[in-house]
Amino acid sequence: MSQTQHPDLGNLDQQGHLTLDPILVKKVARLARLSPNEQELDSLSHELGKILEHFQNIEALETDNVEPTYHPQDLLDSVRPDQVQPSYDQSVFMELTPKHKDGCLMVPRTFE
Amino acid sequence: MSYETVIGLEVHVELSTASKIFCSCETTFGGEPNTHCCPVCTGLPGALPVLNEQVVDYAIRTCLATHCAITPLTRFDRKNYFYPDLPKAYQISQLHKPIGRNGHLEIETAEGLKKIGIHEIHMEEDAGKLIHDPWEDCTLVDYNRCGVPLLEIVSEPDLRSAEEALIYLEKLRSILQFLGVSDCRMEQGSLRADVNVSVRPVGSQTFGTRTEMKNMNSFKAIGRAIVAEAKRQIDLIEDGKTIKQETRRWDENKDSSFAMRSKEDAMDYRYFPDPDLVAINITPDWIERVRSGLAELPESRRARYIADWQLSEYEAGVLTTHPAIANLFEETATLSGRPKDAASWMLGEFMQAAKEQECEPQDLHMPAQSLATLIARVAEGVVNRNTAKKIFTQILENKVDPDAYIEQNGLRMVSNPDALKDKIAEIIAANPQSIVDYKAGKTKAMGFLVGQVMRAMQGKADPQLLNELLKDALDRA
Repeated sequence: MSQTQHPDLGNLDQQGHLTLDPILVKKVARLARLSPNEQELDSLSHELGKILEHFQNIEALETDNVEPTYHPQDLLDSVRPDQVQPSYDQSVFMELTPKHKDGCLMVPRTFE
Repeated sequence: MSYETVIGLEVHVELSTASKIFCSCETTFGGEPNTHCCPVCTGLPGALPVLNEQVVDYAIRTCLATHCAITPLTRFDRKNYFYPDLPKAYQISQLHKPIGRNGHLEIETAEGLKKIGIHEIHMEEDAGKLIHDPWEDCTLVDYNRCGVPLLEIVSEPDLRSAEEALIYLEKLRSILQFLGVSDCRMEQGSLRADVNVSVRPVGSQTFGTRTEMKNMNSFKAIGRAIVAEAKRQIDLIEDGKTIKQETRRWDENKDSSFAMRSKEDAMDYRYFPDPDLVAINITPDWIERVRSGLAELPESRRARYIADWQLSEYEAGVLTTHPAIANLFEETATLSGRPKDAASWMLGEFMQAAKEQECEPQDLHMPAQSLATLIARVAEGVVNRNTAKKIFTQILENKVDPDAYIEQNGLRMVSNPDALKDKIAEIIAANPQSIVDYKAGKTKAMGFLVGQVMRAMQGKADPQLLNELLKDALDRA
C-alpha cells in the first residue's frame, strides 16, 4: 500500500512497509475498549500496517464483474415459524452475572 | 432573512409477532425482568440466531404499503457498539441490503398532497432496557425487550415543518396499524422516532448542518422539539455562529434540548455482514402471497365510506384513524343497515366515552352487535335517543345486552298519547308560573316543562310526541 493511495493511514518505514498512524491505532483500540501502552501502540502500528498492506494486493485485482461474497455458503431462506417456546429461568441469568438486583443484571452506572 | 426547516425521520416500530426476531422467546411488553430471555437473545457464546419468517412477511407488507422496491436478496449486518443494553456488543441490523428502498408516502398538507420519500426500510432487533438505580448508583439491565423485531423506516429529508412531520407520522402509524404489523403504542415504546433537523435560507438548494434527536416517543414532544431545534439553529446563524453536527437529547420538562455527542465522538459502528445469518430470497411469489393478503388501507376505506355511505370527509377521516375503530364502525353499519347513525354514535358517544375514561377509543369494549341493536331500537322508536345513551354507557361499563336491559328496566319509549297527556296535565297544574311565562312569550318556559314531564316519566317519553302534546296543552291553557 503506497502513501499516495492512503496518505491519511500513516507513513512508510525504512523497509517501505506501512506504519499506521498512532492516532488511528488509538481510535481503533478505543472502539475495541482496549488501552495499549506506548510499546504496544508501536508494535500495533506495524502489525496493522502489514495487515492493511495485504489489502493492497486484493485491491489490485480486477473485481468490477465479480459479485461480492457476503457469505461463504450459498444457503438461502433459513427461517423459522413465529412460535413461542419457553424461555430460560430468570435465575440462569442471575447466576451468570457477578451482581444482580430485583431480577436485573447490575452494571456500572451508564448514562447517555 | 427567512428560513425553512428540513426534517428527516427515522421511525422504529416494534412488530407484533408472537416471538422474537431470532429466537422463540415471547415478545410481550413488560413481564418480570429477564424472564423472556434465552441464550440467543442474551448473546451467550455458541448461540445461533434463526430468522422469524413472520418478520419478513410484516416487512414486505410495510414495503408494499409504502411503495418501496423490495430487495430480492436481503441480508443482515452487524452494527457494533458497546453498551449494556446490547449483550452481544452488536445489534443485528441491515446496512448493505435493506429489505426495502425508494418508497414514498403521500400526506395531506395545507398546501395539498405532498409526496414524502422513504429512503429505506430495514429489519433489526431491539435492545434491552436500562434502568438507573439511584440507591446503588448503578444501572440495572432487563433483556426482555432484547431481540424484539423492529422495522426502521427512514424518510428522505422531505418534511418542511413540525406540522408536516406530525402528519407524516400519523399517516405512517395508521398504515402500520391497518396492516396489522404493529400496535404502535408510543407509551410502550413500540413506535419511536429519531428526528433530524436542519435549517436553510428559503430558496437554498443545499442542506444546512443537521442535528439528531434520538428515541422520541410522543408526537407532542416531536412537534415541540422540531420547533425549538429549528429556532435554536436559526438563532445561531443569525448570531454569526456555526451549527455543530451532533446528537442532542430533548428534555420535555425543560422544553429544550442539550448536546449529547458531537460528530467527532460519533459512533463508528464498523458494520459487516453477519456470518450467522444467510440471505433471504424474496421471490415474486412470496411478494404476491403477501400482497394478496394485504389489509385494506385507511385511504381506501375512507373513500369507500364517503362513496358508499355518504359520510363526510371529516367523519370518514376520524373513523379511519385506527383499524379497531374502522372495523367496529363497518360492522355496526352493516349489521344495523344504518351507516349514518353508526357514524354519528361512533363520532359522538363513542369518542366522548374514550375521553371520559381517559383511554384510546380502540381500547373501549363495545361489541358491534350491541351498538347495531341499539341503533335499530332508536330507529324503530323502541327507545328514545336519551335513553339509548344511558344504555350505551351500560354496554360499555357492564357489558349488558341492550334488548334485555330495555325489558328488565322498562325503558321502552312511551308513545301512548293518553299516558303523556295525563302527565302533562299534572306538570302544568304544578307549574302555574311557567304557563304565565309561556303566554308572555318566554319560549324557555316550554323547554322547562318538557324537562319536567320527561323527568316525571324517567326520560322515556317520545320526545316529538311530548313536544306536540305539550304545545297543544299550553296553547289551550
